[in-house]
Amino acid sequence: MFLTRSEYDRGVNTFSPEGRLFQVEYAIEAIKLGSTAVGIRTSEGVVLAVEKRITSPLLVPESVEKVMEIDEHIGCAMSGLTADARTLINHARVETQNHRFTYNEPMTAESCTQSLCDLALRFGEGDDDLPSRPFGVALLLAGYDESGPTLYHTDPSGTFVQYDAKAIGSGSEGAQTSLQENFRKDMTLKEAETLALSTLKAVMEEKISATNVDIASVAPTFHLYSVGELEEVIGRL
Amino acid sequence: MSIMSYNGSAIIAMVGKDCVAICSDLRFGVQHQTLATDFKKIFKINDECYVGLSGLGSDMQTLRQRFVFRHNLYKLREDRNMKPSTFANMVSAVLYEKRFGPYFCEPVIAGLEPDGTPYITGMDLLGAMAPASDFVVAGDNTESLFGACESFWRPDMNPEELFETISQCLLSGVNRDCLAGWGGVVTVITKDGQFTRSLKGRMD
Amino acid sequence: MKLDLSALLPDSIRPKAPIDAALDDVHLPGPTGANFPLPDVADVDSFERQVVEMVKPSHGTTTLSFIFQGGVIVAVDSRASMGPYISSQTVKKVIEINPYLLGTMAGGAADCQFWQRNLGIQCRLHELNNKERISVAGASKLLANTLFSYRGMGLSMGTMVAGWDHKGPSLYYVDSEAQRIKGERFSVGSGSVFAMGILDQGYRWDLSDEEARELGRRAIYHATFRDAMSGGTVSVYHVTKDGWVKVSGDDVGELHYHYYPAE
Repeated sequence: MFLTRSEYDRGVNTFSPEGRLFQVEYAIEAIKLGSTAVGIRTSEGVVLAVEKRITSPLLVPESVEKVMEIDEHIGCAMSGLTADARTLINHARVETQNHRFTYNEPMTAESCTQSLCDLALRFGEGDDDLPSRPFGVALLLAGYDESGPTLYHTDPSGTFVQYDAKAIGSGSEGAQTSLQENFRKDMTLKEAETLALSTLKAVMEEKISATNVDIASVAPTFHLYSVGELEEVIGRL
Repeated sequence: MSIMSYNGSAIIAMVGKDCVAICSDLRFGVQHQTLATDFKKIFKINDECYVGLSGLGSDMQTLRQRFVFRHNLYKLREDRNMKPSTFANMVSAVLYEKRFGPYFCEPVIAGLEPDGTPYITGMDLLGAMAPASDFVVAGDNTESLFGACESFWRPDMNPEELFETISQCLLSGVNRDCLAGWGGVVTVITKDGQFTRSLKGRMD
Repeated sequence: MKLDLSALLPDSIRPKAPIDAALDDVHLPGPTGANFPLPDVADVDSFERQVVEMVKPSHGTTTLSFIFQGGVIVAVDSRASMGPYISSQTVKKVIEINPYLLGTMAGGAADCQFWQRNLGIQCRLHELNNKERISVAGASKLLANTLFSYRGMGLSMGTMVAGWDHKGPSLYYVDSEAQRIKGERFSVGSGSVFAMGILDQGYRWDLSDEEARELGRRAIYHATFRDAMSGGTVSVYHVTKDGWVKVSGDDVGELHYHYYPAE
């Protein structure tokens, strides 16, 4: 074990001779342990759906928050170490508000994603205000701005890519395949809700219910679905 | 704060064809507080000569009394009215008497000379005359008044045109001045007589 | 060659290394207040006093606000002056912090605009973090805390924070001395004495909506008449449980002849 990875997986700032940053790669692995999250972009807006792992019947389901509002027009779903996501989301909220302050206009989703990825790479600099290791979380950012609805995926390496539909987390492999088969460019928001939830349902271990999933849409403003709205979508499956 | 803008004032005199006009705002205040809105600052000396006084309100009243007094003495000795240019020289002399403790007023004199030619002049508070052939302004915000006059004045206006022009100049001038305005009064002097009209203005 | 003695200077006035200075340029005000670079002088205090004297903010303004049975009325004039010169008759002196909160502007225009927009950020972040709107008490305290941290540095603000929260209509006065007072009616600015005269005379808690709006309008109108530094237009805002609405914006040039028609 010592030899297989050599010692290049210790320092977060040290490349291995093959040109790899092991700690970043391990952080990406951490996401594969996380709950599944799905995002789908349509011409009407973007849908985010996440699985909530209710590990105990005594757990209060509402206290598990995996979809959050960044600004009126940007929402975010997460998978991985959700505690790390809180730092990122707080950063994004401050950035979007500062953008409004300085320019008196909403920040674009791309710019917001860029600023998150800038932060994602600023680990191990020795600064007290910055983390010592990579963030162990991946985000799906749903935005609605001047370029219309957008969906971005970020990972611990600070890379961000735009998607029409994307799944992250433990069930992401199966979910991504299912999205690839069923996604159409001309989907309505309603169809996207159904597809997102049926995709989640297929990869979830538990039976899907209004308490163990969350849906949010950004169309064109962020909206987290109520229990009633969730049940309506589940009823359509 | 300058004593010249303690009470607030705005005055213009303007030349037309065979006529002159003189006008003032109507505010009387103490610094920022407006006390009266019927305070005329132009005074009749005789049918062919008016004087406008800008600056400190109390000195305006004193000076008006001295000018009328001096004009009355002149009439008794000479048995005629002062012509505007003579009156202006007298004003200058009265002001310079107080060289080292001046009246805080800048006068504007407007009138018609006996041959019917228009005469206007402005003066500083020590009596330095500055005659003009188009218009003169005085008050606490002469920049605004100058700007309006430079834009609107043209040669050879008839009395009605002159009235309209001087009125618009006064109103737009005082609309950029905190300390003057609250209405205005205009007198136009022609060889056939004079007329005086009140102007409705912004009351802030 | 000039010797670099900056290491000997106290931390607060030491010139920044080029890389830090470059970062400072892109640093934006954070949620709790900005880090403004201090001037590179030996005695910051006396230098600041001279600067304040030089850029003395205009105090010509009338603003008022009061709470009553039907919410909060906020009324203001719109004049900006540089000495006796009227530099603008169309200044927006009500700052719309969010749909339920209004701030008023008296003193330094830039100070008021900057710090009340900064307050807007703090209120929005509170809303995102706590999933409920901030109370007026909370918002005004955030502003007072920010101003406290800049006390004695020459900021000039006399502002009212007005709004509707879970307790109903609420009104606070906050100024650059970091004073914060809760009250049912305030008036701020050079024309405030005149506005307060009208307000005190006509105020009752059970004023109807229309009566209250007219009281605010009339109080500002009278202030513009008597106070040379106030004027322009009279803007009236009303905050109800559904948020604020702008009720009216009347040019004083016309409003005067509406109240007192010319013969």
